Amino acid sequence: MFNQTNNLDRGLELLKNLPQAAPNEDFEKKLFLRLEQKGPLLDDKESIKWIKWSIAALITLAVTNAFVLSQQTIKVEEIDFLVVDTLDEGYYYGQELLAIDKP
Amino acid sequence: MIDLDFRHLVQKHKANVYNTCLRFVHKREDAEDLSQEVFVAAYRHWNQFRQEASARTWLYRIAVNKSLAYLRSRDTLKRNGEMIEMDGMQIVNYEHPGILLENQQEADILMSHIRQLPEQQQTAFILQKLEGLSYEEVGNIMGKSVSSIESLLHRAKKQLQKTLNSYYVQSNK
Repeated sequence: MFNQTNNLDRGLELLKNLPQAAPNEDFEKKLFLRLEQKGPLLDDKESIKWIKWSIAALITLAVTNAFVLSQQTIKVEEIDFLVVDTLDEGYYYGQELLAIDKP
Repeated sequence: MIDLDFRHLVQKHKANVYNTCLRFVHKREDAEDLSQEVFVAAYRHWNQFRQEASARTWLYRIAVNKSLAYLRSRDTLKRNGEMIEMDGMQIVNYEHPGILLENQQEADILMSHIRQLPEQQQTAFILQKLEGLSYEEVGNIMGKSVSSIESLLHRAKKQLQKTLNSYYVQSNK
C-alpha cells in the first residue's frame, strides 16, 4: 500500500516522462488542404452557427414585416372608408346641385 | 494561398498542441480533430496574432479553451463508450502511444482523477505538472497571476492526494 504522496508522485512520474506524442503524418496536409479549399470561414461548426443566425434574423424580419403590414392594412382600410365617405358625400352634394339647377 | 509564416507555425507547434489536447481529452482521434480546430482558429485570427508576443502561449490558450469547451459539450461519456466503471469511479482510457501496457491502468487512474478536478485546477495541473510549463507561462495562458497558479496547483495536488488515496484504499490496490 502506497501512502497518499506516493500514489500521486508515482503516477506523475510516469506521465511526465512519456515521450511527446505526434499527430498523424498527414496532419499538416489535411489542415492546409482544408484551409485552402474551404477557407477558414467555411468551417463546419462556424457555418452552422452562421446559418442559425441568418435563419433567426430572417424570421425576426418576417415577423416585423408582418406586424408593420398588418398595421398598414388597417390604415389603408381606414383611408378607403374615408374616401368612400367623401365620394358619397360628394355624390349627394352633386345631386343636390343638379336638383337646384333643374328647372 | 496560405502564408509561409503560418505554415512554419503549424510545423513548429503541432506536437505541443496535439499533446495538450490529448492530455485533456485522452483520445487520439479527438485530440487530432481538436488540434485541427486550434489551427483553423489560429488561421482565422492570424492577423490579430501578429501583434502578440508569444505564438506558443497563444496556441496553448486556444488549445486549452477548445479542449475545455469540448469536454463541457461531451456530456455523454458513458454512451460514447469512452469511460468504463471501475471500483465506483469513471475511468478514462488515456490513449497515449508512449504508455507501456503494464503502466496503462495506473495512467488511466491518475488521468481520471485529474479529469475530476475543477476546470481551473485541472488546466493548471496539466500545463504545469504534465506539460512542464513554467508558472509564469501557465499564468499567461490562463490569464492569472503566478500566485493564483501556485494556489490552484496546491489545491489540485491536495485534492488528488486525497481522492487517489481514497480510491486505492477502496479498491484495495
